Amino acid sequence: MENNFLNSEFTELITNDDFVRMVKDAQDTDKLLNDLVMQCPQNSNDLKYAVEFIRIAREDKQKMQTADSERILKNIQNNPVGKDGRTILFRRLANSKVAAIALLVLAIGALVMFSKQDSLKQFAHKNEVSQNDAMIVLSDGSKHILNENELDINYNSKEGEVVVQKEESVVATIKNEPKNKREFNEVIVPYGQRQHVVLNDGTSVELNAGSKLVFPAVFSGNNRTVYLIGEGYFDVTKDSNRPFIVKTDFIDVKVYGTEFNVTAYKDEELASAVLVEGSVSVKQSDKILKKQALFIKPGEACFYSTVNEELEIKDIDVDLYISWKDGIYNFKDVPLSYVITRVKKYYNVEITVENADLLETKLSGKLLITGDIEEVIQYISRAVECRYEKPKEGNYFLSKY
Amino acid sequence: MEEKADLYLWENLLNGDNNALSDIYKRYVDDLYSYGLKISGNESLVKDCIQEVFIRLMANRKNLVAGSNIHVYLFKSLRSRLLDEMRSGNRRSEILNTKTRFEEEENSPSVEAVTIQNEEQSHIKKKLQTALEGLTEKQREIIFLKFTEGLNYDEISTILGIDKASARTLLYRTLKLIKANIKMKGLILFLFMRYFKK
Repeated sequence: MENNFLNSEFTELITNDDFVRMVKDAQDTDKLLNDLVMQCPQNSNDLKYAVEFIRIAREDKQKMQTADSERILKNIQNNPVGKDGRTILFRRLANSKVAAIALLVLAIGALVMFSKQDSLKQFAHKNEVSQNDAMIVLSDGSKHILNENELDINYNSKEGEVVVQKEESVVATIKNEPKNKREFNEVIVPYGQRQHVVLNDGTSVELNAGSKLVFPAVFSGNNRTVYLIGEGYFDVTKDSNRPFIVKTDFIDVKVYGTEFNVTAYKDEELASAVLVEGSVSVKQSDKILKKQALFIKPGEACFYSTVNEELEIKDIDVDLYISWKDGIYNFKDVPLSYVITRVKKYYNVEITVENADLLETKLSGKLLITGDIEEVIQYISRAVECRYEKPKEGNYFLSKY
Repeated sequence: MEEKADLYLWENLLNGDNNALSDIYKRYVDDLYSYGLKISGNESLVKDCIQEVFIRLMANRKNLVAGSNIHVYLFKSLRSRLLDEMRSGNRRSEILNTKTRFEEEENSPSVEAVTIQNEEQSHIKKKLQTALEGLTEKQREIIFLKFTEGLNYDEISTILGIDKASARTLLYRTLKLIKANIKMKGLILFLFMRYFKK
Protein backbone atom coordinates (compact mmCIF):
# COMPACT_ATOMS: atom_id res chain seq x y z
CA MET A 1 0.00 0.00 0.00
CA GLU A 2 1.30 3.39 -0.97
CA ASN A 3 0.29 5.83 1.68
CA ASN A 4 2.73 8.67 1.40
CA PHE A 5 0.33 11.03 3.14
CA LEU A 6 0.71 9.14 6.40
CA ASN A 7 3.43 11.49 7.55
CA SER A 8 1.15 14.51 7.27
CA GLU A 9 0.03 16.42 10.32
CA PHE A 10 -3.49 16.26 11.79
CA THR A 11 -5.31 18.88 9.69
CA GLU A 12 -3.78 17.61 6.47
CA LEU A 13 -4.70 14.06 7.30
CA ILE A 14 -8.36 14.78 7.94
CA THR A 15 -8.69 16.88 4.81
CA ASN A 16 -7.06 14.21 2.69
CA ASP A 17 -9.80 12.39 0.79
CA ASP A 18 -7.82 9.15 0.56
CA PHE A 19 -7.23 9.09 4.29
CA VAL A 20 -10.89 9.86 5.07
CA ARG A 21 -12.07 7.15 2.67
CA MET A 22 -9.69 4.67 4.24
CA VAL A 23 -11.07 5.29 7.73
CA LYS A 24 -14.61 5.33 6.44
CA ASP A 25 -14.26 2.02 4.61
CA ALA A 26 -12.36 0.22 7.37
CA GLN A 27 -14.27 -2.59 9.03
CA ASP A 28 -12.26 -2.23 12.22
CA THR A 29 -10.85 1.23 12.76
CA ASP A 30 -8.81 0.11 15.78
CA LYS A 31 -7.00 -2.39 13.63
CA LEU A 32 -6.52 0.15 10.88
CA LEU A 33 -5.03 2.60 13.34
CA ASN A 34 -2.61 -0.06 14.62
CA ASP A 35 -1.49 -0.81 11.07
CA LEU A 36 -1.00 2.86 10.27
CA VAL A 37 1.03 3.45 13.43
CA MET A 38 3.21 0.44 12.56
CA GLN A 39 3.82 1.87 9.10
CA CYS A 40 4.55 5.32 10.35
CA PRO A 41 5.43 5.26 14.07
CA GLN A 42 7.00 8.72 14.08
CA ASN A 43 3.61 10.24 13.28
CA SER A 44 1.52 8.11 15.63
CA ASN A 45 0.09 11.03 17.59
CA ASP A 46 -1.39 12.83 14.62
CA LEU A 47 -2.65 9.57 13.16
CA LYS A 48 -4.46 8.68 16.35
CA TYR A 49 -6.13 12.07 16.58
CA ALA A 50 -7.05 12.05 12.93
CA VAL A 51 -8.65 8.59 13.02
CA GLU A 52 -10.54 9.45 16.19
CA PHE A 53 -11.72 12.73 14.69
CA ILE A 54 -13.15 11.03 11.62
CA ARG A 55 -14.77 8.44 13.85
CA ILE A 56 -16.44 11.07 16.07
CA ALA A 57 -17.64 13.05 13.09
CA ARG A 58 -19.14 10.03 11.39
CA GLU A 59 -20.99 8.99 14.52
CA ASP A 60 -22.34 12.48 15.06
CA LYS A 61 -25.74 11.70 13.60
CA GLN A 62 -29.06 11.82 15.35
CA LYS A 63 -31.81 9.43 14.49
CA MET A 64 -35.30 10.83 14.62
CA GLN A 65 -37.72 8.65 16.56
CA THR A 66 -39.59 6.37 14.17
CA ALA A 67 -43.01 7.54 15.33
CA ASP A 68 -42.12 11.18 14.69
CA SER A 69 -40.54 10.41 11.38
CA GLU A 70 -43.60 8.47 10.22
CA ARG A 71 -46.00 11.14 11.42
CA ILE A 72 -44.15 13.81 9.47
CA LEU A 73 -44.07 11.70 6.31
CA LYS A 74 -47.82 11.20 6.60
CA ASN A 75 -48.37 14.92 7.04
CA ILE A 76 -46.32 15.61 3.97
CA GLN A 77 -48.18 13.07 1.87
CA ASN A 78 -51.56 14.28 3.07
CA ASN A 79 -50.86 17.92 2.51
CA PRO A 80 -53.26 19.20 -0.11
CA VAL A 81 -50.86 21.91 -1.15
CA GLY A 82 -48.61 19.18 -2.45
CA LYS A 83 -51.11 18.25 -5.07
CA ASP A 84 -51.31 21.70 -6.54
CA GLY A 85 -48.23 23.81 -6.45
CA ARG A 86 -50.11 26.99 -7.22
CA THR A 87 -51.91 27.43 -3.92
CA ILE A 88 -48.97 28.82 -2.02
CA LEU A 89 -47.86 31.32 -4.64
CA PHE A 90 -51.34 32.65 -5.15
CA ARG A 91 -51.97 33.25 -1.48
CA ARG A 92 -48.66 34.85 -0.85
CA LEU A 93 -49.34 37.39 -3.53
CA ALA A 94 -52.75 38.20 -2.09
CA ASN A 95 -51.28 38.70 1.36
CA SER A 96 -48.44 41.02 0.64
CA LYS A 97 -49.02 42.94 -2.53
CA VAL A 98 -52.69 43.53 -3.06
CA ALA A 99 -53.66 44.85 0.32
CA ALA A 100 -56.98 46.38 -0.70
CA ILE A 101 -58.26 43.19 -2.22
CA ALA A 102 -57.04 41.25 0.75
CA LEU A 103 -58.95 43.53 3.09
CA LEU A 104 -62.11 43.14 1.08
CA VAL A 105 -61.77 39.39 1.05
CA LEU A 106 -61.22 39.51 4.76
CA ALA A 107 -64.38 41.49 5.36
CA ILE A 108 -66.47 39.14 3.28
CA GLY A 109 -64.67 36.26 4.90
CA ALA A 110 -65.70 37.54 8.30
CA LEU A 111 -69.35 37.57 7.30
CA VAL A 112 -69.19 34.06 5.99
CA MET A 113 -67.40 33.05 9.14
CA PHE A 114 -70.13 34.58 11.26
CA SER A 115 -72.82 32.51 9.70
CA LYS A 116 -70.71 29.40 9.63
CA GLN A 117 -69.62 29.87 13.19
CA ASP A 118 -73.22 30.24 14.34
CA SER A 119 -74.15 26.97 12.77
CA LEU A 120 -71.10 25.36 14.37
CA LYS A 121 -72.00 26.77 17.75
CA GLN A 122 -75.62 25.72 17.46
CA PHE A 123 -74.50 22.28 16.47
CA ALA A 124 -72.09 22.10 19.38
CA HIS A 125 -74.86 22.80 21.85
CA LYS A 126 -77.39 20.44 20.32
CA ASN A 127 -76.20 17.31 22.05
CA GLU A 128 -75.16 18.11 25.59
CA VAL A 129 -72.26 16.26 27.15
CA SER A 130 -73.75 13.04 28.42
CA GLN A 131 -73.22 11.87 31.94
CA ASN A 132 -72.66 8.28 30.99
CA ASP A 133 -71.31 7.26 27.64
CA ALA A 134 -68.54 8.45 25.42
CA MET A 135 -69.75 8.60 21.83
CA ILE A 136 -69.01 9.59 18.28
CA VAL A 137 -71.81 11.35 16.43
CA LEU A 138 -71.37 11.17 12.67
CA SER A 139 -72.54 13.78 10.19
CA ASP A 140 -75.69 11.78 9.40
CA GLY A 141 -76.62 12.01 13.08
CA SER A 142 -75.97 8.37 13.91
CA LYS A 143 -74.46 7.79 17.35
CA HIS A 144 -71.75 5.28 18.14
CA ILE A 145 -71.28 4.54 21.82
CA LEU A 146 -67.70 3.95 22.94
CA ASN A 147 -67.55 1.34 25.64
CA GLU A 148 -64.02 1.97 26.77
CA ASN A 149 -62.01 4.81 28.25
CA GLU A 150 -58.83 6.20 26.68
CA LEU A 151 -59.41 5.16 23.10
CA ASP A 152 -57.78 6.55 19.97
CA ILE A 153 -60.36 7.78 17.48
CA ASN A 154 -58.73 8.23 14.11
CA TYR A 155 -60.20 10.24 11.22
CA ASN A 156 -56.92 10.27 9.41
CA SER A 157 -56.21 6.63 8.57
CA LYS A 158 -58.57 6.16 5.63
CA GLU A 159 -61.04 8.42 3.94
CA GLY A 160 -64.66 7.56 4.62
CA GLU A 161 -63.76 5.60 7.73
CA VAL A 162 -63.32 6.26 11.41
CA VAL A 163 -61.00 3.79 13.08
CA VAL A 164 -61.24 3.30 16.84
CA GLN A 165 -58.25 1.79 18.54
CA LYS A 166 -57.26 0.74 22.04
CA GLU A 167 -53.50 0.61 22.47
CA GLU A 168 -52.75 -0.06 18.80
CA SER A 169 -55.38 -2.77 18.26
CA VAL A 170 -58.49 -1.89 16.29
CA VAL A 171 -61.72 -1.97 18.31
CA ALA A 172 -64.10 -0.73 15.64
CA THR A 173 -64.17 0.62 12.11
CA ILE A 174 -67.08 2.92 11.38
CA LYS A 175 -68.15 3.86 7.86
CA ASN A 176 -68.42 7.60 7.52
CA GLU A 177 -69.26 8.71 4.01
CA PRO A 178 -71.41 11.80 4.26
CA LYS A 179 -72.87 13.35 1.13
CA ASN A 180 -71.49 16.65 2.23
CA LYS A 181 -68.02 16.37 3.66
CA ARG A 182 -68.33 19.68 5.42
CA GLU A 183 -70.96 18.43 7.79
CA PHE A 184 -69.97 18.12 11.39
CA ASN A 185 -68.97 15.15 13.44
CA GLU A 186 -68.56 15.19 17.17
CA VAL A 187 -66.83 13.27 19.90
CA ILE A 188 -68.41 13.47 23.34
CA VAL A 189 -66.42 12.55 26.43
CA PRO A 190 -68.46 12.18 29.64
CA TYR A 191 -67.25 12.94 33.11
CA GLY A 192 -64.87 10.28 34.34
CA GLN A 193 -63.26 9.61 30.94
CA ARG A 194 -60.61 10.82 28.54
CA GLN A 195 -60.46 10.20 24.81
CA HIS A 196 -57.97 10.92 22.06
CA VAL A 197 -59.00 12.06 18.56
CA VAL A 198 -56.87 12.33 15.44
CA LEU A 199 -58.51 14.68 12.97
CA ASN A 200 -58.43 14.34 9.23
CA ASP A 201 -55.41 16.65 8.88
CA GLY A 202 -53.39 14.63 11.40
CA THR A 203 -53.96 17.05 14.27
CA SER A 204 -54.10 15.22 17.58
CA VAL A 205 -56.54 16.25 20.31
CA GLU A 206 -56.52 14.81 23.81
CA LEU A 207 -59.99 15.46 25.28
CA ASN A 208 -60.36 15.71 29.04
CA ALA A 209 -63.36 14.59 31.07
CA GLY A 210 -66.67 16.31 30.39
CA SER A 211 -65.67 17.64 26.98
CA LYS A 212 -66.95 17.74 23.48
CA LEU A 213 -65.27 18.42 20.17
CA VAL A 214 -67.14 19.29 16.98
CA PHE A 215 -65.32 19.12 13.65
CA PRO A 216 -65.83 18.26 9.98
CA ALA A 217 -64.91 14.72 8.92
CA VAL A 218 -62.70 16.28 6.27
CA PHE A 219 -61.34 19.80 6.49
CA SER A 220 -62.05 21.79 3.37
CA GLY A 221 -61.74 25.43 2.44
CA ASN A 222 -59.02 27.67 3.71
CA ASN A 223 -59.17 27.09 7.42
CA ARG A 224 -59.60 24.26 9.86
CA THR A 225 -62.22 25.15 12.42
CA VAL A 226 -63.34 23.04 15.37
CA TYR A 227 -65.57 23.79 18.34
CA LEU A 228 -64.60 22.78 21.86
CA ILE A 229 -66.58 22.58 25.06
CA GLY A 230 -64.50 21.52 28.05
CA GLU A 231 -60.78 20.92 27.82
CA GLY A 232 -58.47 19.70 25.09
CA TYR A 233 -54.75 19.44 24.44
CA PHE A 234 -54.03 20.14 20.78
CA ASP A 235 -51.00 19.14 18.76
CA VAL A 236 -51.79 20.82 15.45
CA THR A 237 -50.34 19.62 12.17
CA LYS A 238 -48.51 22.48 10.61
CA ASP A 239 -50.10 24.01 7.54
CA SER A 240 -49.14 27.61 6.95
CA ASN A 241 -51.94 28.07 4.43
CA ARG A 242 -54.80 26.83 6.56
CA PRO A 243 -54.92 28.16 10.11
CA PHE A 244 -56.39 25.92 12.75
CA ILE A 245 -59.09 27.61 14.82
CA VAL A 246 -60.48 26.34 18.09
CA LYS A 247 -63.74 28.08 18.89
CA THR A 248 -65.31 27.89 22.31
CA ASP A 249 -68.17 29.61 24.10
CA PHE A 250 -65.76 32.22 25.40
CA ILE A 251 -62.59 32.46 23.38
CA ASP A 252 -61.34 31.63 19.90
CA VAL A 253 -57.81 30.36 19.48
CA LYS A 254 -56.10 30.57 16.10
CA VAL A 255 -52.89 28.77 15.22
CA TYR A 256 -50.84 27.49 12.34
CA GLY A 257 -49.11 24.47 13.80
CA THR A 258 -48.25 24.16 17.41
CA GLU A 259 -49.02 22.53 20.75
CA PHE A 260 -51.39 24.13 23.19
CA ASN A 261 -54.09 23.51 25.77
CA VAL A 262 -57.55 25.06 25.73
CA THR A 263 -59.91 25.04 28.70
CA ALA A 264 -63.49 26.28 28.39
CA TYR A 265 -65.75 24.49 30.85
CA LYS A 266 -69.15 26.08 31.23
CA ASP A 267 -69.11 25.71 35.00
CA GLU A 268 -65.69 27.25 35.56
CA GLU A 269 -64.94 30.93 35.92
CA LEU A 270 -61.83 31.00 33.78
CA ALA A 271 -61.35 29.84 30.22
CA SER A 272 -57.74 29.56 29.15
CA ALA A 273 -55.38 28.91 26.26
CA VAL A 274 -51.92 27.73 27.30
CA LEU A 275 -49.18 27.61 24.71
CA VAL A 276 -46.57 24.87 24.76
CA GLU A 277 -44.82 25.76 21.53
CA GLY A 278 -45.33 27.82 18.41
CA SER A 279 -47.50 30.91 18.37
CA VAL A 280 -51.23 31.37 18.73
CA SER A 281 -53.66 34.24 18.86
CA VAL A 282 -56.67 34.42 21.14
CA LYS A 283 -59.76 36.57 20.98
CA GLN A 284 -63.15 36.64 22.59
CA SER A 285 -65.79 34.66 20.78
CA ASP A 286 -68.48 36.56 18.88
CA LYS A 287 -66.53 39.78 19.08
CA ILE A 288 -64.61 39.60 15.87
CA LEU A 289 -65.11 43.21 14.90
CA LYS A 290 -64.85 44.75 18.34
CA LYS A 291 -61.78 43.35 19.97
CA GLN A 292 -58.31 42.74 18.75
CA ALA A 293 -56.74 39.33 18.99
CA LEU A 294 -53.96 38.87 21.55
CA PHE A 295 -50.87 36.86 20.71
CA ILE A 296 -49.33 34.53 23.23
CA LYS A 297 -45.86 33.09 23.33
CA PRO A 298 -44.68 29.73 24.66
CA GLY A 299 -44.80 29.73 28.43
CA GLU A 300 -47.67 32.20 28.47
CA ALA A 301 -51.37 31.67 28.93
CA CYS A 302 -54.33 33.75 27.95
CA PHE A 303 -57.12 33.72 30.52
CA TYR A 304 -60.65 34.79 29.91
CA SER A 305 -62.74 35.52 32.95
CA THR A 306 -66.38 34.77 32.41
CA VAL A 307 -67.18 37.13 35.30
CA ASN A 308 -65.67 40.38 34.03
CA GLU A 309 -65.39 39.28 30.38
CA GLU A 310 -61.78 40.29 29.95
CA LEU A 311 -58.80 38.65 28.32
CA GLU A 312 -55.50 38.67 30.17
CA ILE A 313 -52.06 37.29 29.33
CA LYS A 314 -49.86 35.88 32.08
CA ASP A 315 -46.57 34.03 32.38
CA ILE A 316 -47.33 30.61 33.74
CA ASP A 317 -45.79 27.26 34.49
CA VAL A 318 -47.02 25.35 31.44
CA ASP A 319 -46.75 22.01 33.16
CA LEU A 320 -49.46 22.95 35.64
CA TYR A 321 -51.94 23.23 32.80
CA ILE A 322 -51.04 20.33 30.58
CA SER A 323 -49.97 17.54 32.92
CA TRP A 324 -53.52 16.14 32.96
CA LYS A 325 -52.85 14.53 29.62
CA ASP A 326 -50.21 12.39 31.30
CA GLY A 327 -52.54 11.42 34.13
CA ILE A 328 -51.40 13.98 36.67
CA TYR A 329 -53.17 17.04 37.95
CA ASN A 330 -50.61 19.56 38.95
CA PHE A 331 -51.88 22.24 41.31
CA LYS A 332 -50.09 25.26 42.64
CA ASP A 333 -51.61 27.38 45.35
CA VAL A 334 -55.21 26.76 44.40
CA PRO A 335 -58.18 26.50 46.77
CA LEU A 336 -59.64 23.12 47.62
CA SER A 337 -62.83 24.17 45.81
CA TYR A 338 -60.96 24.22 42.48
CA VAL A 339 -59.30 20.87 43.12
CA ILE A 340 -62.71 19.43 43.86
CA THR A 341 -64.37 20.72 40.67
CA ARG A 342 -61.56 19.08 38.72
CA VAL A 343 -61.68 15.77 40.55
CA LYS A 344 -65.48 15.64 40.30
CA LYS A 345 -65.29 15.97 36.55
CA TYR A 346 -62.48 13.60 36.16
CA TYR A 347 -63.98 10.77 38.20
CA ASN A 348 -67.61 11.65 37.68
CA VAL A 349 -68.37 11.64 41.40
CA GLU A 350 -70.19 13.94 43.80
CA ILE A 351 -68.05 15.58 46.50
CA THR A 352 -69.60 17.71 49.19
CA VAL A 353 -67.65 19.79 51.68
CA GLU A 354 -69.26 20.71 54.98
CA ASN A 355 -67.20 23.70 56.02
CA ALA A 356 -66.87 26.76 53.83
CA ASP A 357 -63.46 27.69 55.21
CA LEU A 358 -62.19 24.25 54.28
CA LEU A 359 -63.00 25.06 50.67
CA GLU A 360 -60.65 28.02 50.84
CA THR A 361 -57.67 25.93 51.98
CA LYS A 362 -54.85 26.43 49.48
CA LEU A 363 -53.23 23.35 47.98
CA SER A 364 -50.10 22.72 45.95
CA GLY A 365 -48.75 19.51 44.53
CA LYS A 366 -49.34 16.68 42.14
CA LEU A 367 -52.39 14.50 42.17
CA LEU A 368 -52.08 11.19 40.38
CA ILE A 369 -55.34 10.68 38.55
CA THR A 370 -54.66 7.34 36.98
CA GLY A 371 -55.63 5.47 40.15
CA ASP A 372 -58.72 4.86 42.17
CA ILE A 373 -61.00 7.72 43.29
CA GLU A 374 -60.82 6.42 46.87
CA GLU A 375 -57.04 7.01 46.89
CA VAL A 376 -57.49 10.50 45.52
CA ILE A 377 -60.03 11.41 48.20
CA GLN A 378 -57.74 9.98 50.89
CA TYR A 379 -54.87 11.98 49.54
CA ILE A 380 -56.85 15.19 49.51
CA SER A 381 -58.27 14.72 52.99
CA ARG A 382 -54.81 14.06 54.34
CA ALA A 383 -53.52 17.19 52.64
CA VAL A 384 -56.21 19.50 54.03
CA GLU A 385 -56.43 17.57 57.31
CA CYS A 386 -60.05 16.62 57.27
CA ARG A 387 -62.00 13.39 57.35
CA TYR A 388 -64.16 11.89 54.67
CA GLU A 389 -67.17 9.66 54.53
CA LYS A 390 -68.77 7.81 51.71
CA PRO A 391 -72.53 7.87 52.32
CA LYS A 392 -73.07 5.96 49.09
CA GLU A 393 -71.22 4.86 45.96
CA GLY A 394 -69.91 7.86 44.01
CA ASN A 395 -70.69 10.26 46.84
CA TYR A 396 -68.08 11.72 49.17
CA PHE A 397 -68.50 14.01 52.11
CA LEU A 398 -65.57 15.97 53.56
CA SER A 399 -65.69 17.60 56.99
CA LYS A 400 -63.36 19.02 59.60
CA TYR A 401 -62.07 16.88 62.45
CA MET B 1 -23.46 5.13 -6.59
CA GLU B 2 -25.28 7.33 -4.13
CA GLU B 3 -25.46 10.20 -6.54
CA LYS B 4 -26.92 8.04 -9.27
CA ALA B 5 -29.66 6.82 -6.95
CA ASP B 6 -30.35 10.41 -5.98
CA LEU B 7 -30.61 11.55 -9.58
CA TYR B 8 -32.98 8.71 -10.34
CA LEU B 9 -35.18 9.55 -7.34
CA TRP B 10 -35.19 13.20 -8.30
CA GLU B 11 -36.24 12.34 -11.82
CA ASN B 12 -39.12 10.25 -10.50
CA LEU B 13 -40.19 12.98 -8.13
CA LEU B 14 -40.32 15.54 -10.92
CA ASN B 15 -42.43 13.11 -12.91
CA GLY B 16 -44.94 13.07 -10.10
CA ASP B 17 -44.08 9.71 -8.53
CA ASN B 18 -45.22 9.80 -4.92
CA ASN B 19 -43.09 6.83 -3.91
CA ALA B 20 -40.08 8.90 -4.85
CA LEU B 21 -41.11 11.42 -2.23
CA SER B 22 -41.19 8.87 0.54
CA ASP B 23 -37.92 7.32 -0.66
CA ILE B 24 -36.20 10.68 -0.63
CA TYR B 25 -37.72 11.44 2.75
CA LYS B 26 -36.54 8.19 4.31
CA ARG B 27 -33.11 8.56 2.80
CA TYR B 28 -32.54 12.02 4.18
CA VAL B 29 -34.73 12.48 7.24
CA ASP B 30 -32.06 11.55 9.79
CA ASP B 31 -29.38 13.57 8.04
CA LEU B 32 -31.68 16.58 7.94
CA TYR B 33 -32.58 16.06 11.56
CA SER B 34 -28.92 15.88 12.61
CA TYR B 35 -28.09 18.94 10.54
CA GLY B 36 -31.06 20.89 11.88
CA LEU B 37 -30.01 20.17 15.44
CA LYS B 38 -26.59 21.60 14.67
CA ILE B 39 -28.24 24.86 13.71
CA SER B 40 -30.89 25.25 16.36
CA GLY B 41 -30.76 22.42 18.89
CA ASN B 42 -34.53 22.71 19.27
CA GLU B 43 -35.95 19.33 18.33
CA SER B 44 -39.55 20.29 17.67
CA LEU B 45 -38.62 23.32 15.64
CA VAL B 46 -36.32 21.16 13.53
CA LYS B 47 -39.08 18.60 12.97
CA ASP B 48 -41.56 21.29 11.96
CA CYS B 49 -39.10 22.77 9.53
CA ILE B 50 -38.29 19.40 7.96
CA GLN B 51 -42.00 18.89 7.35
CA GLU B 52 -42.23 22.34 5.83
CA VAL B 53 -39.24 21.72 3.57
CA PHE B 54 -40.84 18.62 2.07
CA ILE B 55 -44.26 20.24 1.71
CA ARG B 56 -42.63 23.09 -0.20
CA LEU B 57 -40.60 20.64 -2.24
CA MET B 58 -43.83 18.96 -3.35
CA ALA B 59 -45.55 22.26 -4.01
CA ASN B 60 -42.70 23.60 -6.11
CA ARG B 61 -41.65 20.49 -7.86
CA LYS B 62 -42.88 21.67 -11.24
CA ASN B 63 -40.39 24.50 -11.10
CA LEU B 64 -37.44 22.32 -10.15
CA VAL B 65 -34.66 21.44 -12.50
CA ALA B 66 -33.78 17.88 -13.33
CA GLY B 67 -30.33 16.83 -12.22
CA SER B 68 -30.20 19.01 -9.13
CA ASN B 69 -28.40 17.70 -6.10
CA ILE B 70 -31.11 16.60 -3.65
CA HIS B 71 -28.79 16.49 -0.69
CA VAL B 72 -27.77 20.10 -1.24
CA TYR B 73 -31.27 21.26 -2.11
CA LEU B 74 -32.77 19.78 1.06
CA PHE B 75 -30.00 20.99 3.34
CA LYS B 76 -30.13 24.47 1.92
CA SER B 77 -33.91 24.67 2.25
CA LEU B 78 -33.86 23.39 5.82
CA ARG B 79 -31.15 25.83 6.76
CA SER B 80 -32.89 28.91 5.43
CA ARG B 81 -36.22 27.83 6.93
CA LEU B 82 -34.65 27.28 10.34
CA LEU B 83 -32.83 30.59 10.28
CA ASP B 84 -36.05 32.37 9.26
CA GLU B 85 -37.97 30.79 12.11
CA MET B 86 -35.23 31.54 14.61
CA ARG B 87 -35.00 35.12 13.43
CA SER B 88 -38.74 35.61 13.75
CA GLY B 89 -38.16 35.07 17.43
CA ASN B 90 -41.18 32.94 18.21
CA ARG B 91 -39.05 30.13 19.36
CA ARG B 92 -36.24 32.03 20.91
CA SER B 93 -37.12 31.12 24.46
CA GLU B 94 -37.05 27.45 23.55
CA ILE B 95 -33.79 27.67 21.75
CA LEU B 96 -32.06 28.87 24.86
CA ASN B 97 -32.72 25.82 26.94
CA THR B 98 -31.73 23.13 24.52
CA LYS B 99 -28.52 21.20 24.50
CA THR B 100 -26.16 20.21 21.77
CA ARG B 101 -25.15 16.68 21.17
CA PHE B 102 -21.61 17.05 22.36
CA GLU B 103 -22.80 18.12 25.77
CA GLU B 104 -25.08 15.16 26.09
CA GLU B 105 -22.50 12.62 25.22
CA GLU B 106 -20.48 12.51 28.41
CA ASN B 107 -17.99 9.68 28.44
CA SER B 108 -19.04 6.87 30.70
CA PRO B 109 -16.59 6.36 33.56
CA SER B 110 -13.92 3.94 32.48
CA VAL B 111 -13.82 0.48 33.96
CA GLU B 112 -11.07 -0.53 36.38
CA ALA B 113 -9.05 -2.66 33.98
CA VAL B 114 -8.41 -0.39 31.07
CA THR B 115 -5.44 -1.03 28.86
CA ILE B 116 -3.11 1.84 28.19
CA GLN B 117 -4.30 2.00 24.64
CA ASN B 118 -7.94 2.32 25.62
CA GLU B 119 -7.12 4.94 28.13
CA GLU B 120 -5.19 6.85 25.55
CA GLN B 121 -7.98 6.47 23.06
CA SER B 122 -10.64 7.74 25.41
CA HIS B 123 -8.38 10.59 26.37
CA ILE B 124 -8.01 11.54 22.72
CA LYS B 125 -11.74 11.28 22.24
CA LYS B 126 -12.41 13.50 25.21
CA LYS B 127 -9.92 16.10 24.03
CA LEU B 128 -11.43 16.19 20.57
CA GLN B 129 -14.92 16.47 21.96
CA THR B 130 -13.92 19.31 24.25
CA ALA B 131 -12.30 21.05 21.30
CA LEU B 132 -15.48 20.60 19.23
CA GLU B 133 -17.63 21.92 22.05
CA GLY B 134 -15.56 25.05 22.10
CA LEU B 135 -16.46 25.88 18.52
CA THR B 136 -19.06 28.40 17.45
CA GLU B 137 -22.30 27.19 15.84
CA LYS B 138 -21.03 28.17 12.42
CA GLN B 139 -17.80 26.25 12.90
CA ARG B 140 -19.62 23.17 14.11
CA GLU B 141 -21.91 23.43 11.13
CA ILE B 142 -19.10 23.29 8.61
CA ILE B 143 -17.43 20.42 10.47
CA PHE B 144 -20.72 18.55 10.26
CA LEU B 145 -21.18 19.21 6.56
CA LYS B 146 -17.63 18.32 5.66
CA PHE B 147 -16.92 15.36 7.90
CA THR B 148 -20.22 13.91 9.05
CA GLU B 149 -22.00 14.37 5.72
CA GLY B 150 -18.87 14.12 3.56
CA LEU B 151 -19.88 16.98 1.26
CA ASN B 152 -17.38 18.76 -0.97
CA TYR B 153 -16.59 22.49 -1.08
CA ASP B 154 -18.95 23.13 -3.98
CA GLU B 155 -21.84 21.61 -2.11
CA ILE B 156 -20.95 23.22 1.21
CA SER B 157 -20.62 26.68 -0.29
CA THR B 158 -24.03 26.34 -1.98
CA ILE B 159 -25.69 25.28 1.26
CA LEU B 160 -24.11 28.04 3.31
CA GLY B 161 -24.64 30.62 0.60
CA ILE B 162 -21.01 31.71 0.53
CA ASP B 163 -18.35 31.33 -2.17
CA LYS B 164 -16.02 28.39 -2.35
CA ALA B 165 -12.98 30.28 -1.15
CA SER B 166 -14.81 31.47 1.96
CA ALA B 167 -15.96 27.93 2.71
CA ARG B 168 -12.38 26.74 2.45
CA THR B 169 -11.13 29.50 4.72
CA LEU B 170 -13.84 28.85 7.28
CA LEU B 171 -12.99 25.17 7.41
CA TYR B 172 -9.27 25.78 7.48
CA ARG B 173 -9.57 28.21 10.39
CA THR B 174 -11.86 25.85 12.25
CA LEU B 175 -9.45 22.95 11.91
CA LYS B 176 -6.57 25.11 13.03
CA LEU B 177 -8.54 26.09 16.08
CA ILE B 178 -9.32 22.47 16.87
CA LYS B 179 -5.67 21.60 16.54
CA ALA B 180 -4.68 24.42 18.84
CA ASN B 181 -7.26 23.36 21.38
CA ILE B 182 -6.24 19.73 21.56
CA LYS B 183 -2.55 20.50 22.15
CA MET B 184 -1.40 17.03 21.19
CA LYS B 185 2.06 17.40 22.69
CA GLY B 186 0.81 17.33 26.26
CA LEU B 187 -0.64 13.89 25.84
CA ILE B 188 2.29 11.69 26.78
CA LEU B 189 3.14 13.59 29.92
CA PHE B 190 -0.48 13.49 30.96
CA LEU B 191 -0.67 9.75 30.55
CA PHE B 192 2.41 9.21 32.64
CA MET B 193 1.11 11.34 35.42
CA ARG B 194 -2.13 9.43 35.53
CA TYR B 195 -0.21 6.20 35.53
CA PHE B 196 1.88 7.06 38.52
CA LYS B 197 -1.07 8.30 40.49
CA LYS B 198 -2.67 4.87 40.46
